[in-house]
Amino acid sequence: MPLWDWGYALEKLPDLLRALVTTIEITLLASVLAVVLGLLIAVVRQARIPLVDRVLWAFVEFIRSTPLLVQIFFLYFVLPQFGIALSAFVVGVLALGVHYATYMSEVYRAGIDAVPPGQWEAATALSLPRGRTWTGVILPQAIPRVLPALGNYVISMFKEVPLLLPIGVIEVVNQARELGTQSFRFVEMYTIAGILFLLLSYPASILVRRLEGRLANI
Amino acid sequence: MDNLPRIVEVLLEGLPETVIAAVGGIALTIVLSFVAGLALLSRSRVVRGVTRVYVEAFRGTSEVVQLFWLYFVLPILVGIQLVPLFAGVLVLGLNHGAYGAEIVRGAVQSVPRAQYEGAIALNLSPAQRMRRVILPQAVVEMLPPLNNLFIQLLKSTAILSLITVPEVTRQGREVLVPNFGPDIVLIFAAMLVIYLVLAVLITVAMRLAERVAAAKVGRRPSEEARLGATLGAGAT
Amino acid sequence: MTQRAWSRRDFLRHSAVAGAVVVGAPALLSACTTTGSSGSGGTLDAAKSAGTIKVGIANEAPYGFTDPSGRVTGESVEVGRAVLKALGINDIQATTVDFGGLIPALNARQFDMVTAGMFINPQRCANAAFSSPDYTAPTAFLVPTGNPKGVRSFADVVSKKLRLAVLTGAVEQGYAQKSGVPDGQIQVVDTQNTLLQAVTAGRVDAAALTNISLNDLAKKNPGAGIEVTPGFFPVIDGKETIPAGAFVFRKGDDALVNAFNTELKRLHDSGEWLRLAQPFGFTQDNVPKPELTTERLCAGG
Repeated sequence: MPLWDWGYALEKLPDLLRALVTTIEITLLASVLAVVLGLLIAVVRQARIPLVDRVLWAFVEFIRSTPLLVQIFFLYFVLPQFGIALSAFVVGVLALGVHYATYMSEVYRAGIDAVPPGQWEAATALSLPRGRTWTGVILPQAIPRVLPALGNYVISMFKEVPLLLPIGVIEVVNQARELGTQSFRFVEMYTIAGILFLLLSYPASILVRRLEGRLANI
Repeated sequence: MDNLPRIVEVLLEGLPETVIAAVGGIALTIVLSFVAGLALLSRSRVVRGVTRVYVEAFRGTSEVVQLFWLYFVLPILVGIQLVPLFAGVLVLGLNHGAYGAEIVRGAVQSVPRAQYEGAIALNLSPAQRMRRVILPQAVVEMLPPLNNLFIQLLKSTAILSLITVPEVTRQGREVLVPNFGPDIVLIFAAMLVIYLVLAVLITVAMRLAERVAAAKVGRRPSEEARLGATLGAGAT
Repeated sequence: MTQRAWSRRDFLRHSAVAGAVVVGAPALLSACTTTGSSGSGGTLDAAKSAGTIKVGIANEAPYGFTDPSGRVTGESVEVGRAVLKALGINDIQATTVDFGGLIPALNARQFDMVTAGMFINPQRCANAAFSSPDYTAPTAFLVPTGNPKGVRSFADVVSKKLRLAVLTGAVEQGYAQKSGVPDGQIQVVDTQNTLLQAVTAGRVDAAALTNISLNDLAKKNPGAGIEVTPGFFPVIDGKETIPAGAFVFRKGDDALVNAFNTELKRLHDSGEWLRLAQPFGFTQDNVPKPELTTERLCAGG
């Protein structure tokens, strides 16, 4: 049996690319969830409401310190026990989104904390309402600085989508595995899957690094 | 609830594998981080280039793909089948070593230029300079981000369940779920708690290491390092 | 104070070597097994002298699975144990892999035989060697109690546009596809338990597997609100497909396969097979007819 069969590899490439599209879809949807939810958590924690802050801290630490894979299983198998049966795709987006929201909330907090206290005081002196303070003064200063970190997390998320394999989401690695199982040829499938990841994430990380360079001058 | 003792018992049967994978992975990560991190600062273009390829290749592809490739494809190519646990440790080390290399490189580069110049002025050989002046200061800077990296590695040991390593996650999925179906909430909750405890242990150990390293050098990690720990935890 | 300056390259080389030796050498020695061939008599002789053999299972009840007490058992495992004992191999070490990964892992020498009740088909025969047929079992569907969608055959799945779950690498996926079920309606899962979960959570309308597996699943989960439809042999391409399950070995391990077949036949003829398989839900009906041979099944007959 030849080590690499180009005919087989090219024949199955469209299937793998289709699965790659699914992977990208999940990444984008989960990113939106993570970016928005993370910001929400960071803003609420900034208010330092006693009980809420404690609960959020515990939640963030718990999610950050435990494996994403187990969290995925938890959502997939446990939610139906409470009557909520979501498709594997939705469970995947939720699990990834919430998991990375906790990382991003920490990043947002670092950015917010880096805004000089004088800004907060000036906003108070000018009698700006809370909402306006956030949208007009704090966030425009906090967010640009942490954009590279957020970008890196999105790339990380993209690379963790294969963790959805055990719950049946047809993303790239799962598709590679299925095709390999049916034909008993794995070399082409897994190698192409790896290359596809590299082709997307390497340029993305270069872009993020360039962004980081630009922002360092702010 | 009354199945809880049995559930925890079965899960803990997977603990040795999880711990071996984590410790082995961390050890390999430390070695690779230093070797590659310092190689990235080498004067030789070739050394830098080769290391850069390693770092980008492992940071740019998914850990699951790396694991499957090493475990399913490599045997076909070179005729050697790796024991699942060893394949897991290898991938954990190679993958996190690539991230660690950047952390080490950043930390070494953050040591003030004056320290280098002082060492040269005092006639220290390059090895002595590295070992007694630069690295001790760099280590203090790199401990917070390494803490995050090691916890990330611990979490990644769960992925080893996909290549039949009988660690905690696999024990839960393969042994417990089919036999204790109704207790499924308890099973996964117990799993999460076990990982949480292990993560806390790692953090405690790293905080201790931080204190020891800082005492040797006479200062604590800079603000940038603490910030870098948070920001750099994902990728960088 | 001055010495030959250690350039960075020296430092790297030394630390790399030291690190590699410390970490690599002892680990490497314990970590590898070669995949090179060791001759056709090799596996049987090695197992006999070691007194133990490595087997692969897919945690699929009741063929090969881990019971609540942690013991590896099942029809395939117990029959396998009996045959191996007759060959002088008294102990087995089981590794659990997902069903679709059994043959690849076998060929990668993770274990030396598969005791998972795997069906013989031409594609698998091209990649592994099967023993003589061990049992036959009809296909059935796992559905919610009362069979609300009225699923009895693959044709029903197609005509009623139902979602179906199948096990990765198992024949039911092929049956479904050949019967005209579109890929979009087929959900492939990697464990038997996930199959159950898919039906109970309503993610699919039915799941297809052998009726023995599904009956066992239903028996183990009495409160799950599921039932098993009557078993049938699917008609594919106009021909009734009667599958047979067997034990799987690497191609080239002829000595082992032949010795195994001899003892397996003895077990079947003496009635001992039925005694071993009955606790797992097998009956006289599951004994393969004599005209069902490995050669015929490998050829697609």
